[in-house]
Formats: sequence, C-alpha cells, structure tokens
Amino acid sequence: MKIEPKISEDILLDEVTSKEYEYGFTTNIESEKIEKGLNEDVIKFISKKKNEPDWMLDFRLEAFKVWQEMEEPDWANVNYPKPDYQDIVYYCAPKQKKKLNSLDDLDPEMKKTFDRLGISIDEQKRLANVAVDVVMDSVSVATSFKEKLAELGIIFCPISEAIQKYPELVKKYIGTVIPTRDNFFSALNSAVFSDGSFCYIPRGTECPMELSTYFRINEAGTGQFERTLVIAEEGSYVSYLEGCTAPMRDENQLHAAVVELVALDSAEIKYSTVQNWYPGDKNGKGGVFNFVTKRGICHDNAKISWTQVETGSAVTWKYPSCVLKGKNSIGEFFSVAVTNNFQQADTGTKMVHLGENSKSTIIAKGICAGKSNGSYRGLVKIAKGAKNSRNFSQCDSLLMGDKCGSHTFPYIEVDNKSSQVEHEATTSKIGEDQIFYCNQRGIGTEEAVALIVNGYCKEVLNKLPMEFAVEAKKLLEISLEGSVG
Amino acid sequence: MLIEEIKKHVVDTELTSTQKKSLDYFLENGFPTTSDEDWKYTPLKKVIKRKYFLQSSDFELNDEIIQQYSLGFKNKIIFKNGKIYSEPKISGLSIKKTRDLCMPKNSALCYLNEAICENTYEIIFDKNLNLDNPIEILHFINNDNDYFLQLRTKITCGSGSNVKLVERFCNIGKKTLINSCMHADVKRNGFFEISKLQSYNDNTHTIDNTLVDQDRDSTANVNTFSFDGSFIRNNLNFYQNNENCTSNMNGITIINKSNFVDHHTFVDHKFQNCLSNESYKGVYFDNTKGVFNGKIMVRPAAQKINAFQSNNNLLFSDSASIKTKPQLEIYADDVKCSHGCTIGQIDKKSLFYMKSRGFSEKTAKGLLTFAFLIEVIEKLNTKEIVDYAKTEIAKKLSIEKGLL
Repeated sequence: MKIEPKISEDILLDEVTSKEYEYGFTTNIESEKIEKGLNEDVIKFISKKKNEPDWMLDFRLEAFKVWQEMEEPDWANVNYPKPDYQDIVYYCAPKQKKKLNSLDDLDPEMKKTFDRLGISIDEQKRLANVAVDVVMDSVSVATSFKEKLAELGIIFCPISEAIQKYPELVKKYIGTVIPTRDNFFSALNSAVFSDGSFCYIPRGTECPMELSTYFRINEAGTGQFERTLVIAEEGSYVSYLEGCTAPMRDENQLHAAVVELVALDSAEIKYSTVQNWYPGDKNGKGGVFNFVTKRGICHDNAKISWTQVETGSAVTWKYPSCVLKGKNSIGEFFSVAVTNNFQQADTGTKMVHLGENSKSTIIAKGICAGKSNGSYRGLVKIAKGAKNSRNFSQCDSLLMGDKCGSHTFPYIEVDNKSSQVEHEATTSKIGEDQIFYCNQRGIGTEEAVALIVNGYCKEVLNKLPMEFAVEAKKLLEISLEGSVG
Repeated sequence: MLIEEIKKHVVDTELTSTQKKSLDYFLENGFPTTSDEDWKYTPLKKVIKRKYFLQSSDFELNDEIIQQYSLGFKNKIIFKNGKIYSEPKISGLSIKKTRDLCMPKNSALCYLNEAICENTYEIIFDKNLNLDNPIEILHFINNDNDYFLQLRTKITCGSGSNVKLVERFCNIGKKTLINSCMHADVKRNGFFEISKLQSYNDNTHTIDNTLVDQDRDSTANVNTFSFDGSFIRNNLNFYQNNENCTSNMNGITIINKSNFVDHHTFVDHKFQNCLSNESYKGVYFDNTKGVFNGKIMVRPAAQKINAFQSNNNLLFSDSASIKTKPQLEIYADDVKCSHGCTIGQIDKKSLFYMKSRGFSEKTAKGLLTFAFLIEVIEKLNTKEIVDYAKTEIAKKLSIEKGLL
C-alpha cells in the first residue's frame, strides 16, 4: 500500500500543535478586585466582604499563620518558576448589582461566556438534568436547580452562602479531611479561599441529578482558590462533576483548590473532573499552575470514586486521595492525564487503608506527547489494622514522540499478612503494527491514533457521566491528534 | 557517635587528595537519614548509634573455618579484615592493592568508603579470559573491638572475558558494620556474574554498594540472596554505557526474626538496543521488614529498550511489613518497559488441595513458597549456588531439603 509521505504528517502535526485553545477568550465583565499581595488585611477584607462569622475569620488567620511558616515543596517531578505570592490578586469578583434569584437575571455578557464554554445552562437545565454552580474568578455566580434540590433536603450552594446559612455543618466538617497544615497549598487555600461549592446530601437520599460546578479564571493576574466540601450522610448517594477553563494569558495563573469529601456510613460519592485549564502556548509560555489538594474520607461501607480527565494546565500537581477509615469501605481512582507541548503533570492518588476489608482500585492512564512530561505518583498504604484489604493498581503510559517523558513513582506499604496488593505498570508507544492494521483497512493514521487512544482510555472514560464522557472524548482528540507521525 | 570516631580516625591518617575531597563531601552531608528519599524506610540511625572502632586487628584463619563458609569452588580469593590473605594462581588474573582510586558513587557511604578505606584492591581479568568455574571471594572478619569495616574492590572484566564470582562476608567475631563498595567495569563483549550470599549472624550489619559499568555487547548478572541479617542494605546500580547491553538482577529474600533487608536497584539505560531484567522475590516471617526500590531510567537517546521489573512478596506475619516502590523514569518513546509488584499470601485453595492429599500444613506451605521462589532459582546456572539456595530456603521453611 501507499505510505503517506512524511510531509503531510508534518503539516498535520503543525496544524494540530498550532491549534488554539478553544476556551481562551476573555469576558468583558466589570469586576471588583483588590490590590495584589497577601497579608492579614487582605484576609480580613475577604472575610468581611463575604460577611463571615468570627470563627471563619479565625480559621483563615490561623491558616495564614501556618502558611507563612511553610515552605513551598519541590519534591514533585515538575519544573516551573515559583509564583510570587505577593504578585497575585486574591479577591476578584464579577460586579453584581444585586443578588440573583434565577439564571434569567444573569448578566447577558456572562451568559454568553457560559454558552461559549459549552455549558449552556438553559440547555442543560432542560436536557441533561444537571444542577450547575458556576464559579467565576473565585466567586460563585450562578446556581441552578436550587429549589428542586431543596425539596429533597439537598443543599447545593456556594460555600460562602453555606457559611451564612448552615454554619454548624460547615464548622463541623471543614478542615477535617484536609487539615490546614496538610501542605503548603492547602494552607494557602484555607487562608484566602473566596468561594467554592458546598453540597450536603441528607440521610438516605439519592441525589436525582448530577451536581456540577464550572470553574473559570477570567481576570488577569488573579489566582483562583476555591474550596469544595461535599458531605454525604448515611446511605446517601451523589454524583458530582467539576469542569474548569481559563482564558489564554501570557503569564502563569495559579489555581490552588481544596476539595474535601465526607462519605459517612454506607454513603457513596462519585466525583468527576474534566480539567481543561489553559495549558500555555506551544512554546510553553503561560498556562495555569494547577496545585490542587483533593481528599475524601470513607466511613463504614462507604465508597468514594474519583474520576478525572486531565488535559489542561501548564503544571499539574494533584493527588485525589481516599482515606478508607471504615470497614468494607471502597476507594476508586480512574484517571486519564494527557500532556502535550511543554505541559508537566505529576498526578496520582493515595489510598490509605485503615479499616478492615477495605478495597481500592487505581487505574491511571497517562498519555504524553510533544515535549511534555507526565508522572504517576501514588501511595497505597495498608495499615496493620486493615485486615483482608485489597488493592489493585494499574498505571499505563503511552508515549508519542521521542521528546516526551513518562514516569512512575508508586509507593506501596503493607503492614499485615492478610492483605493483597497488586501493582502493574507499562510504558510503550502505539505499535506500528496497530497503525498498519488500521491503515490496511482504510483508516487513516490520524483516525487510527484517535481510535487506539480512545480504546486505551476507555476503561476510564466509561466511568464518566455521559455528558462529560462526550466532552472528554472531544478533548482527548483535540489534545492529541497528529502527535504521532 | 560514629561520626566522632571517623573524625578521630582521620586525624592520624594521611589522606590523598581524592580521599580528602570525599571526606569533605561526607562530613558535609553526614550519614543519610530517613528524610532522604532513598533512605526513607531505612533507619540507619539505629545502626550507627553503636560505638564502633575503625582500627583493625589481626587474627588466625585456618582451613576449617574457610571450608565452613566456602561453597567448595577450587579458586578462592580470601580477605582477612579487608586485607588480602590468599589468591588463586590463574593466568590472566591479577590482583593489586591501590590507595588512590576514585570510583563512581551512589550514596554518601561510598564517599566515606573512598575517604577512609585503607585496603583498596583491583582485581583484573584479562581480555578473552574464560573461566569455567566461579571464583569465590570470601571476606573473613574478626576484630578485637566492635568494628566498622570498609571493603573496597574494583573488578575489571577484560573484553570478551567470562567471569563468575561468588561473594560472601563471614563475620566470626564481634559486632561489625560492613560498608562495602564494589565497582565492576565490564568491557566490550564481556560477561560478568556475581552472586552475593547474604546469611549473616546477628552481629553483622551490612551496607553493600555495587556499581556495574557496562560497555558494548556486554552482559552483567547480579544475584542477591538475603537469608539472614539484622540490617542489610543493598545498593545496586547498573550503567549501560553503550549499545546492546544486558543487565540481569535476581534476588531472593527470605528472612525471619526481626531481620531487615532493603534492596535499592537502579538501571541507567543510556544507549539504544539494551535490555534489563529484574526479578526480586521476598518472603517475610515474624517481625521482619522488607524494602524494595527499583528504579529504571531510560534516557532520551535510548530507543528500543526492553526493561522488565518484577517484585513479588509474601507476608506471613502481621508484624512483618513491606514497603516497595517500583519506579520508572522514561524519556524515550520506542521502548517497552513494564513493572509489576504484588504483595499477598499463599493461595488458600492450593493449600487446601495439598492438605487434602496428605501434606502437613507446614510442608504444603513450604512447597508452595518454594514454588513461588522457583522462577528466580531457575535462572541460576551454577549447581553449587542452586544447592546453597535450596539448603537455606529449606532451613527457613523448616522442610526437608529433599522435598525441593
């Protein structure tokens, strides 16, 4: 058969690598922001602006104190210029004249933004049955379906609102899964977080729709520090989605979020993320630094499942974890991490088994192209008391191009004799024979790669809710087409 | 404690410029602690807090003792407290003592070794030397005081040579901490194999650093048998400095009481068309602790690499623990790299099957455990070593050797 001339591949490669970031627009919305820099006054300002009670302010100030004593860690397998934490705007909100009651009152400019993002709140409202909370530049701007959820006793609102309305709930759980001093970024987030989502599912309730948050950094020079807290009471179920985008900017923007999940006895939380922050241009300029701390705690018979598709960010540093505290608890982690151009990702999970018969599954798929570097870093710890625990981990990497790197750092610690742990990892490229097979059957190299990558990620994509799976598939194609010659 | 002793020791000795540099480096960095990533699970602190002396004394060595520790090979190189005692007469083999020899290093302990080791030996195998039988390297240690011993050997395998070695440290005296550095330089088309027999008494703590440099078309095998030792740390590094190299690592660890064994391996694939194969199996009883850290690095130019690594472990006690980290760092795309790691127990169904056919629980468990290890044993090609391994394994599993 005729082999495609090399030149066409180069053109293709060129086309794809020069493909612009689709969500790189900015929205002209008047916004309110404070001066750059971080000090106690800024924290007090944020707290006051949010009309927070004293205990919340104390929580923030305590975190700030802790943060000042901490040093930015550098153990991850990533290289980046350390952000100047005094050169960031810590509070920025789209200006609003009055509190909104329904989405129809939304600023038309902002509404246009959502349409371009593809969220189209109206459409989702009708078709997808998804309740959306939109966080723009760290402030929650719209929450849909609130009333309907309220009938079931489900609370789904911006965390700033929850602090006002349900202080006892927030106070009871905030900082319990991820303590303030957990790490540098969680301490920073605890001090300055401006908004985020709060979700509470009452006992025995199955949340009838997917809950979703969209995060967007709009304003230049701002950092986004959102905080999400999901509490699933005994026997309840919730599926939660999170998506992120940012405009194209030359400077690096910082995103340091904290997500805490609490799954009480027999509860189940499914947390899915499609992360598509601006990854920087093809020369590695700009892009979002994504330093996120995510952790969930599982009580008896509870289950937490993390699913993530990571395609964006210049630097990703993220380890969604499960603390399997209760008996028979289950933790799951499914991840696809794609890096291209100069992107760097150090991502993975931690499964800490404390309860008897706890089980965990880790499926991590990495795809590296261009000059990017992807790392899987994971910990499976089985404590002495976690008898009969079971873990299965699989992390595979697919390399496209000879200038990228893929790395695996799995830590496995077992302290009893009745547990079983398996770990396997492979690294390879797409086989020439596989491509040849497709070519033979009339499938072009481009399509063949997409087909193979899709098959490779299927295990993870299948875990995503339908609407997200479609988006994720599209993202994968955009990120990777033509990366293999 | 030990650092004071070292400082005291170097005052009275004259150091060469290489040694001085190394000493400065070591004193600046000190002994590794658990906050070093490579020593995270290895509490060296406990080992070095004891008072050891660096001065060596002499002792009588007789054939009876030598026989006791020898596997019965004809050719032996014997060291007494680090000093050469006897060497075989083989044409093409020369052994010489040197002082100022800079060797590659993989930890602060190698720097210390370079700085204060008084007896460095170069063992040179000429090119095209083909040895039919392995040569035994036996280190006998017996000191008047508790002893911090430095061993330092450089082995050169000439091009086209075929060299097999068996190494064993035999401590017949007081408490000893051995810090051994071995650098093997395998030239073009050379074949080098070393089997490390580690069955130490409770008096012996060892830190064993082995670095292997490989040239084009060479093969290097390192077999490590850790059967006893209250503290064993093995650092094993392979550097493939040209194309078409093969590196094999086999390890069997089967320990009881409160023994501690730590294997750190590193394979550096720098050129294309190379292979590495790593298989470590561990069985842990009682209060034992096992650590495994296998790192495979594939550099950007190293295409067509095939790297395989597996680490399987059986835990037989709730007080035993295993920490393992099979690590891959890959910068080239046309490679096949995989690693697998398991931690578990004997399959209950198999055990039941054997018991229902009249095996006692102990024998059934023993046989199944042996079956678990057999994959590594089958890779060994010297009868005496297989025999040694089977004897030790049978002893550990308390079953008759005849059954294996």
